[in-house]
Amino acid sequence: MAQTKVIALTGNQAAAEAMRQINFDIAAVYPISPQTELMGFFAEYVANGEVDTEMIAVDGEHSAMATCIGAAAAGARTITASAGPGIAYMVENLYVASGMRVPIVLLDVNRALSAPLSIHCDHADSMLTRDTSWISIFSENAQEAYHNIIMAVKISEKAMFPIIVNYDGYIVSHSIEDVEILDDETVRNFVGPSDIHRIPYPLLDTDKPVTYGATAQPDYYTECKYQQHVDFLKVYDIVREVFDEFAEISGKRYDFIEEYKTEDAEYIGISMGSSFGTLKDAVDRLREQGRKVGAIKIRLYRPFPVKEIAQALSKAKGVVVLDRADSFDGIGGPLFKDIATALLATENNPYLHNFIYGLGGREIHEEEFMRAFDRLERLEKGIETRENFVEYLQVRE
Amino acid sequence: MTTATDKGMKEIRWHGRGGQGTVTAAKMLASAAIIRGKHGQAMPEFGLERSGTPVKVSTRISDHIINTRAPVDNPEIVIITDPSLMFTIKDIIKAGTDENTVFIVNTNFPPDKVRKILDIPNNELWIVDASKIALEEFGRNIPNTAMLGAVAKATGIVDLDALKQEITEAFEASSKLRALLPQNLKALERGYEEVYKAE
Repeated sequence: MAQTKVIALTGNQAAAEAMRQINFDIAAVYPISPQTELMGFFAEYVANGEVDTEMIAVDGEHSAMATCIGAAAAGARTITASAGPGIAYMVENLYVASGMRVPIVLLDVNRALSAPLSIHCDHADSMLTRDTSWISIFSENAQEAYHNIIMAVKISEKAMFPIIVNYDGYIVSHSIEDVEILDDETVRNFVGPSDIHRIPYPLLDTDKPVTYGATAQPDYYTECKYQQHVDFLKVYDIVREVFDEFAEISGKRYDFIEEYKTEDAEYIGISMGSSFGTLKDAVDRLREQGRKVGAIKIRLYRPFPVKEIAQALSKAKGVVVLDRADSFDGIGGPLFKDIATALLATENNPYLHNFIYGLGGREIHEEEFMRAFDRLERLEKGIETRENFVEYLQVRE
Repeated sequence: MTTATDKGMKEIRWHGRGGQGTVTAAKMLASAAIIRGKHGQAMPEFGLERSGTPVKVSTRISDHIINTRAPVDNPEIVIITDPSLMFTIKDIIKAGTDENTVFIVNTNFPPDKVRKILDIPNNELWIVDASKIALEEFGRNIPNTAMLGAVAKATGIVDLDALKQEITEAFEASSKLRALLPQNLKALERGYEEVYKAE
C-alpha cells in the first residue's frame, strides 16, 4: 500500500497534482474557464522543472487535440484539458483520435454550452463526446477526479482508446475539500514508464514504419469501424482490471456504478458527477420518513454499464433519471435514454421518469431531489399524470 | 439545510466583496480544519469575479464525510467581512438564518447599531474591526486574516495554531504574498484578541 496524506485541495489543484505525479510527456494547452486555472497550476510545475512535460501552447482546442493525436501516435504519454465550447471545438478530432486508436487523456472540466453564454457547470459538453468512441468517466469530487486521472492513463493505454475524465466546473474545480494523495513513487509505478513500446505501433519506432490516418474506401471503412466496435466492448474488462489494480495500491475500490441504499429500494434516482452527494443526502432524508428510496451514480459513462444498471434496477418500481443536460429531442436527456435502453437487459419494467436539473451552474439542493422522488412515486402510483417523459426540475415559469 | 445524517456538521456562510480575500479566507478555514483531521469544504458562489462585487461563500466542517454540494442555505454562522453589505444586501445575508444563527461582523459600528441594521435583537453577535487591523498591519483593507482570528475565537471550530499553519503554508507558497506573512499572522492574532461578544 502507498503512503498517503490528506490535504486541502480544489478539484483543479487535485487534477494538477495527478498530472504532476504521472509526469506526462506532452500537455497541449489552450485556456478556457473553468479549466484555465488547472493548466495554470500545471504550468508552474513545468516552469519549476518538477515535471519533464513539454507543454505546448496551441491556437485553439481543435489544434490541442491534433497535437495530442500526433504526440500519442508517436508514443508520447499525452494529456489535454478543456471545457464547454472548447470541447465542442475539439469534437471533429475526438473521432480522429479514437479511430486512430491512440491513448490520450482529456480532462473535461464540465461547462455549459452557449447560447446564452455560461461558464458554469452542466454536462452538455461531455454529451457531445458520448458517440465518439472515447472512454468516459465521471468524478463526483476532487478525490475521485484525482484517482480517475491516475487510472485513466492505464485504462487508455491498455485499451488503446482515448479517455475523458469529467469533473464538474466550479462546483468541483474551484471548491476546496480534503483529498487523500498517494505518494509520487506509487503513482509512477502504477502508470509505469512511458517508453514508446508500451503501445503497439509507435510512429517513432522507425524500424517498423506504420501509417496512421490513412483513407479508407467503401470496401474497408466498415471493417475498420467494426474492429473499433468490437474492441470498444473489451473496454469493460480493462476498466475493471485497472480498478482492481488501483484498489491494491490505494485501498479504494471503484466500480462502474456506485449504489447507495438500493438493496431494498422501490424508487431509485440516478445522477452523475458532483450532484450525487446531494442526491445521497436526499435519499437519507426520505429514508428518515420511511420511504424506500436509493440512488445510483454512473462512474463509467462510456462504454455504458448496461449489465450493472440492469442488475441494480432489477427490483425497482420506479426510476428517476437526473440529467444535467437536455437533448431537446422530445424523448429526454442523454442519460435517460441510456438508462431506458439498459432496462432492456432486465425482465423488470420499472416506471421511468426524467428530470433536467443544474443547467448552467444552477445550484441543486437535496429538497429538489426529494421533490423528484415525490413526483416519480406519484406518477408510478397513478396519482399524477405526465405529458412527457422529461420535465425540468428547477425552473421559474 | 442541515443534512439528515450529520447533525454535527458546522455550516458557515461568508459575505464579502471581491478583492477582500473572502473566498481565500473561507478556503483557509476549511483547510485549517482539514489540517486537524476533520472533513472540510469551501465553495464560492461563482458569479462574475470582479473587484467590489458581493461574494458569497459556503464553508462546511464535519467529523464525517460531507456529501452535499449545495450551497449553505441555513447557516449556523454568518460572517460579514464588509460592513457596507449590511445595508445593500441585508436580505441575502439574513436569508435562511434564525435566532440561533451566530453573526460575526467586521465593523467599527457599536453592537446596538449592528443589531438594529440587521434586525437581530437576540442573536449571538461578535464584532471585530478587522479592516482597521488590516490597515494598521499591512496598509490594505484586506480583512480576511483578521476575520479568521475572530472566527476562531468566536466559534472554536478551528484553533489558532491550525490557522497559523495554514496561513504560513499559503503565504510561503506565493512569491507575491511571502513578504506579507508576518503582518498577516499578526492580523490573525489581533483578530482573535480584539473580537468581542456583544451584549
